[in-house]
Amino acid sequence: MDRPLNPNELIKANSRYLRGTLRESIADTATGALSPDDAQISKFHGFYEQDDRDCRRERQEQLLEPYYSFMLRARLPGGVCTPAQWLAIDAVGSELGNGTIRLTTRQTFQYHGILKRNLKPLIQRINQAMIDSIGGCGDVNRNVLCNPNPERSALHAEVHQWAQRISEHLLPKTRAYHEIWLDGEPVAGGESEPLYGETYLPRKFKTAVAVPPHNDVDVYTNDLGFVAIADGDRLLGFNVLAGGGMGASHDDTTTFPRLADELGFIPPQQTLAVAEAVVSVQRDQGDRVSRRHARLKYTIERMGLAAFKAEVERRAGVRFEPHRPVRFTSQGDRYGWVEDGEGRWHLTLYIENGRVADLAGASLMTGLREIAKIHQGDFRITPNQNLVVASVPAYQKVSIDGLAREHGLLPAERSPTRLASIACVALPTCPQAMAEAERYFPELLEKIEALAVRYGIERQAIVMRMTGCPNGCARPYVAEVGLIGKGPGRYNLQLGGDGTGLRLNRLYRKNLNESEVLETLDGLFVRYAANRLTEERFGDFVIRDGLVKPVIDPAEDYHEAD
Amino acid sequence: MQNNAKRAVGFPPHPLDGLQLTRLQQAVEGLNSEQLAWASGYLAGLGSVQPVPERAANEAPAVTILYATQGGNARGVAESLAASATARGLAPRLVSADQYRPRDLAKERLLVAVISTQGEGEPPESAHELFKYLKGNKPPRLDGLHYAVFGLGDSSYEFFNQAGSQLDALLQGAGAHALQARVDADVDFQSIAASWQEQLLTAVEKQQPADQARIIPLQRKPSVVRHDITHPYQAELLERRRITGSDAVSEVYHLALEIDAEAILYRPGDALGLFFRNDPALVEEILALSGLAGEAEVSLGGGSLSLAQALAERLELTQLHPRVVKGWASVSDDARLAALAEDAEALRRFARERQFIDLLQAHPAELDAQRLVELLNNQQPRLYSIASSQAAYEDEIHLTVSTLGYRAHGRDHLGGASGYLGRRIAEGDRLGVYVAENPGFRLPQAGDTPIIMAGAGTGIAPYRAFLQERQVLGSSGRNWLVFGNRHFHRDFLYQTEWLDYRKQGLLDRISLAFSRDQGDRAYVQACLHEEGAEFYRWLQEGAHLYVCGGIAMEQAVRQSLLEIVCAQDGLDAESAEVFIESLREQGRYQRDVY
Repeated sequence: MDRPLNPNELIKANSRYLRGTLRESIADTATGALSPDDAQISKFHGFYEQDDRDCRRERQEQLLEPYYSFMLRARLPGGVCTPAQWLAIDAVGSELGNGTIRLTTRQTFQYHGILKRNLKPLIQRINQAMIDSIGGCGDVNRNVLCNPNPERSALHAEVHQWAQRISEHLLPKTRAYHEIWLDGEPVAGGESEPLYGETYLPRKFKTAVAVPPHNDVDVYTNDLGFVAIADGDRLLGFNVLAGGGMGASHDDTTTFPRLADELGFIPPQQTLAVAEAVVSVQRDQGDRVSRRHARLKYTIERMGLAAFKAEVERRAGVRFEPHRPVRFTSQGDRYGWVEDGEGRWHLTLYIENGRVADLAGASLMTGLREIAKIHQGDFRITPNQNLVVASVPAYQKVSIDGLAREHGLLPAERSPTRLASIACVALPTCPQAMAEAERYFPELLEKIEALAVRYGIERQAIVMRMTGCPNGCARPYVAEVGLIGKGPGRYNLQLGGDGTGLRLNRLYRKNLNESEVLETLDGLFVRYAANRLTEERFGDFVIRDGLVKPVIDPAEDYHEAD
Repeated sequence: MQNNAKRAVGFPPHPLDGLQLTRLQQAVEGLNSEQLAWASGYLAGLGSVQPVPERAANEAPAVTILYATQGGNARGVAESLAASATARGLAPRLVSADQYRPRDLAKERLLVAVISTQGEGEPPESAHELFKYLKGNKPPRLDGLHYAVFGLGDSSYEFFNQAGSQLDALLQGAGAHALQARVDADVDFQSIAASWQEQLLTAVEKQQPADQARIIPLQRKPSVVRHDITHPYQAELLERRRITGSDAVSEVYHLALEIDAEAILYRPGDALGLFFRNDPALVEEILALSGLAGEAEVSLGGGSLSLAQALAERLELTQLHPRVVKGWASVSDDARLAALAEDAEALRRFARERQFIDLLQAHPAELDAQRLVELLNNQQPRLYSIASSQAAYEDEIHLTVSTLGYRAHGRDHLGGASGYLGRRIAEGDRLGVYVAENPGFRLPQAGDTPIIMAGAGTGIAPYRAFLQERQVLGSSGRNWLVFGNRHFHRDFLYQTEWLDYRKQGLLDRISLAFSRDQGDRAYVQACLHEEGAEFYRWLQEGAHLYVCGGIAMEQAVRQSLLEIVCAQDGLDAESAEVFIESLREQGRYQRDVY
């Protein structure tokens, strides 16, 4: 292996534990950008440099640099925050972001359009609300998912605590964040990063905790997964999963999405040791030459599952018990009010594309602010970019419901497919985007809904997910219908997810424009309407009908010709 | 360019001793190419006549023509006078005020001063020393001097021709005798200049001793036409691009004009005078409101053309002159207007706030096409700081133009030239231009001298020229840009170029003040304050300070400079003033104010 390390490895190594020259970059008023190296380091602090791609060329002609701004992603394990925190999140978004809050598929919120000079004030403001953005992005463990499970509050509380503990345990230990943003005292020296080392991980690392039967966290798509095994409301332990990941590169057959392998069952008290061991194996064995092949899924493919598992057991000092049987039934959210066993109510709100904003006819942002002012429970951001107003006492149900209706948070009918579908941010801010997603998906869905109505299949939810690039933020490879941006107005059409996140889909048609997408779906819907079995999901039908072969072992068969 | 070439290659081998060489260099310092060509012929002429005729060491030439110019008009008048004088066999010495030693006044017998006035009534920068000397504690006695003053001004300003009248008074106060009454020429100065010149030279000849009237002028090789206000060069627009963001309030354009590098020479700091076409929509409106036919034949400047053409190309429609208002009052039966015409200050304010169309609409009058043409002034060229260096763009001139647009008197108004340049001119179109030299705004002679360039808005233009020049010459001096505008994201003019210069190591420092980005409005002067210690260090290290922008900005910067000098050096205000004054005298504090 004489191939040179990826340049990012040197940037990390030279960053003095993630300090880089961020201070100088922030102080430079002549550009809205950071230095290129700092733009890499900043991710570990939770923010990405972006620019408004809609006006990039125009500004180049105007001899103006790109319209740089930043996207900051908070760390919010399990997506839970208090009403007071929500009010702070809301105020900061209005004053220092672009006036919107973006809920994400990783159960946290993002601000877009933050100007460089506003970064420090923004981080200080959310810090006052006890929220940080450490590891929001970057080559470390990212925000830990945990499904909201509102109807099982006691179990949720316990599992959520584990999500929080995992998140804390896997946090970088450097004081750089406190020094730079919170004016903390500089560390005199001798600082170390016991888990990560000075080059951190080779690539991002995602962890999720799931409470069956709901797989809204898409636990199999994470590098590290914990599936709660409970007896009633009592947590017995976790099935541990490793090696899932969504990202792939177009036309590179050495890359592929992958679902996690099952390592086995552990009791709760071994959770942190196992998490740390998985991270440390990836730290030592992950590919630091090619970032494309640096995720844990490739490490496990290279090591072999048995060797990987043995190494994790050795490092954690545990032995995995046999995997406990579990059953997942859905990967979407369940909307509306539900009551839990203790007489509290939970309202799941559909937030289209996760974008909390005041729109014409729907003042979502104002509505949530008004709710937060009286709400006494908590808020839970779901992995489908929606929001749960959780733990509402019965006597407040009416007033919160009223506010939600008043502000357009509970509109009338939405198709089951729309409610089950998600899109990533993409253009104009995401630097990775090759095609539209958030801005375009709703109007495409309208046309797809019309097709569904034409063939009488509109009552069947189809999980559809669109991303602007193949990196997979909206987890499109486990959707029944995945649309993955290939170029402006062009998408790869993927088919065959099972609607519960347990089966990868497969590329069906490449590089389609809108009319080709609709034409293709039209043909598929005709067949589905005519030949589906009772209760048969669309994703299962396309497999049974032989339209696509199921993906069994993606390293081997994902790129097989259709 | 010649100067730059000289600097770049060093001085060729020569038979002069050190002092002689220094004197020679001083003597040619600041001469433009044409003057240098003339001087070389002059020196060659001296060398060819043996023996050198005996002359008293300090004997003054027959008549000294002194000019202090801002945009080049005063120089043009002076040059034209010098040419006529030479043609009549006189031996004029033509000299710019900043090249003139004020103490030499006492040795003059005949002095003609051509001087323009700046906006606030000040003399041009180049006359600063002269005025200081005349107003000083020990004013000279000039009993032996006969003089004439030709002032250039704009009567739409309150201090119309104040510099000329001050100079007149100062000379008179020193005992000098006016050869002829002072002329206060207005924006339409050409015709009055021509008649003044004839009368003056006749008077001069009467004063001339017979033996000095026989100097044979040096024969000059006929050179290419010199392009000036009366002979503009027809430049082609190569490119126009907007350089403020599309969401910016201010509409600023970068324009590139193609020029003939043989015919047009300019230096960083110079301005470009240009003529423009009025807005056809405005012409249409004027025709409609006045009820006159565009085809009506009118005579103007000795030729005849259609009224529409005269309005579009020849007449001043956007800068309303008090004279025009006064004239209008005499043709319209409007009592208010008549009353206004009697109050100079109110009249000026009235004119400043209006374009001709506003006058026409609010105070209709019946008149024929010819009368209208006679009432209006001829179009005055507009001056823009040149934003390029000829060392970098030999056959191009770049401009930075902010389009003036506003709503008043119930209609949208657009600046005449800025509207033409920003909105109407198309690539490939031609417009008349000439270089207006700006000797008071020059890079330091020594390439290793640090410079601080403070500018607001389009005041950044000359600095683009400065850096281009310094880059081509490989000047090692440090460069510091201090720039202010409204919004960082929208109005950071030429941002990518400055960032490139910084990356290349040419631009050492950028300080920015964007007044509308945050609650506290930050301006250029605040930048200087914030970095006062560094700023003062640069000055101590010999930096030249340049200020380009509006009057208010210039004054604020001067105030900041004063405060910084006080704070950094522990000086009292008076000593700080002396320090600043010395900077100015050394040419280390140069301003281009509009």
